[in-house]
Amino acid sequence: MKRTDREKEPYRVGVLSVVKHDYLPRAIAAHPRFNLSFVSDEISRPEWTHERNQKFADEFQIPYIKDITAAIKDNPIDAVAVSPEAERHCELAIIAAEAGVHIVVDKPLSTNTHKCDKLIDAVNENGVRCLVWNRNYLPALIQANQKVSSGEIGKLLSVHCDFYFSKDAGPPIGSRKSNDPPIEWLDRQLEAHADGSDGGVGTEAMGELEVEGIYPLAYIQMLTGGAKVKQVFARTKSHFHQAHFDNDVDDLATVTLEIEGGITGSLSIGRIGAASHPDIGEIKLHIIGTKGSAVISEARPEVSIYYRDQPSTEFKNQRIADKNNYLLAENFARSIDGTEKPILDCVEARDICATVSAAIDSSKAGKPVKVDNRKK
Amino acid sequence: MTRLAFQLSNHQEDFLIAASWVDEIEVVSTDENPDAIVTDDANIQSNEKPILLYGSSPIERKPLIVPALPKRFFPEVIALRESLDAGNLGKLGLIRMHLWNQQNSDEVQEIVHTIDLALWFFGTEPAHIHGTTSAENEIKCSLIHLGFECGGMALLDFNNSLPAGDNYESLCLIGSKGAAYADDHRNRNLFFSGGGPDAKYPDTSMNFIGPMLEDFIQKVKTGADLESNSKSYNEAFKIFSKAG
Repeated sequence: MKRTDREKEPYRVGVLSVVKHDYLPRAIAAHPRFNLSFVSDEISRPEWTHERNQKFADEFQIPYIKDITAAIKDNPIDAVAVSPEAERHCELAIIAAEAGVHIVVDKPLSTNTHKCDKLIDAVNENGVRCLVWNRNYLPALIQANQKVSSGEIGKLLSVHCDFYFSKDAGPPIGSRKSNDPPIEWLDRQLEAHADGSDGGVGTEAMGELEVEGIYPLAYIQMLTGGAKVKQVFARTKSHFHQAHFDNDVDDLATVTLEIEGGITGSLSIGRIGAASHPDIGEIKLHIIGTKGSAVISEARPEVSIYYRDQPSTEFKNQRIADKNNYLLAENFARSIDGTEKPILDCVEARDICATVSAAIDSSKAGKPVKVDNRKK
Repeated sequence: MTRLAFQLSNHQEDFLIAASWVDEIEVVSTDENPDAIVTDDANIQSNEKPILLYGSSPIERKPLIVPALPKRFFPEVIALRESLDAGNLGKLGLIRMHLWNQQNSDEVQEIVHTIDLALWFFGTEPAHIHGTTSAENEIKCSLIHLGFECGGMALLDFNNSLPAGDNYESLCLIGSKGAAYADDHRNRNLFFSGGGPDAKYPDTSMNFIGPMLEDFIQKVKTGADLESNSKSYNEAFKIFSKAG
């Protein structure tokens, strides 16, 4: 762990849209090295986005400016926190890069590698830093990474991640009556905002692999020391939720990973329903090296709390000592300082996007597919 | 009452203890005209008696050999199967397993039995089979990935990297209405004697024997279904071979 340098002047941050989750701009606002300057989005956005942006701006007592270019031009800022609909992540991040400000952007970076490439080009051309949100600083991940990077388990041979979110996503599959229209993706996502299960908010339907796959793949990316996934074989399915079925996207997926350096890996992921686990879900890493192996529960450490009349929606096991958000913000500050590399940068997130795309293609084709990683 | 003879080079006493707990079994010796034999000797003469072959690969076209499928009878598997059969988990979508063993383990048997378990849970053969391996010196990590016509999937992770001592197993069933987790990780107790603690699983390693023998004597008694284990074993072995 490193000391936060409170002597430095805080970086000024513009929030570019805060319509999905607000954990990202909140984390930035909570860190002593950042101050929020404004919230901005385009005036052409639908009314629900303005409502959410305005609400956040009001809470933090900062202006909401309905013109991103003007907001960046008229307000001296060092960085932006980008948290719009997932399909707009790259678009807004590119505006910021071209304006010469650093970027922290919510996950997933995109479902489209071409959009990612445009962002990477803009980041490189303008010499700014770009951090993509992730969970690599959870206590169990820090522990796992220390075990691997210290060489304690020898050369890494295989790494597997089971990543199940026990969340619902609207009515269960098979519940739609024959005369009912298919569920509109955006309608479902807007409805889901209340319980925070709207990770795929936007007009573009996204499966679980596309929305959440970046988390476990970022774990694997970190644990392998940045080794690229070369080829995948995958199966995907809409197994739980009518909204996923109606929009032809997965809520359950398995991926075999063939990784540089002779490493194998795998990922099983699903939005498996709230009834399927007492907490947020079963999330585990299985790591095999030439000198040792590890089984890591992502949730640990945690405490168990049970009491009479406990709300059914309250997790019985609560994670403790989770400083992921703070450490990500710290990493972002240090990246801007030039003393650290972002723990997940836009090139790495772009190649994760390519892995996810290859997995979806593999599932459709029923055969292995090579991953279109960014050329160096 | 079924008269069973036991001829095992390993775990003979464990099998005799388990047999003594089953009311329908009378333990006899091989020269007392048993109704059936339990052995790990693939070359044993059957003398027209059914043979439950445990811990060895069956020899092709040898009649009346019933290859044991022990994983179906592990306590955690029985509990998960009952929950699935009761409909509590809904439609099965995913079987995820991690099975870690020592370098001297019988990799083929382990993988074939695990594939059998996946097929048994789904009740069908896979439409897609993919396998991949990473290896260094004596350590081998294998991954078998199956896709079923119903859309279900199985992802099975094997390796022989563990030093002498305990194995590690994790089995997870993800169904449309619920999920079930059987994981050595959460079933270990801590023992402190200086340094990091030992995490030990209570010894239940032989608890599968009783249910496995009960299943076998049912097959012997009815004379039906004696070939089903061979069919299942052969199907799993075929998939193991295809996965490379």
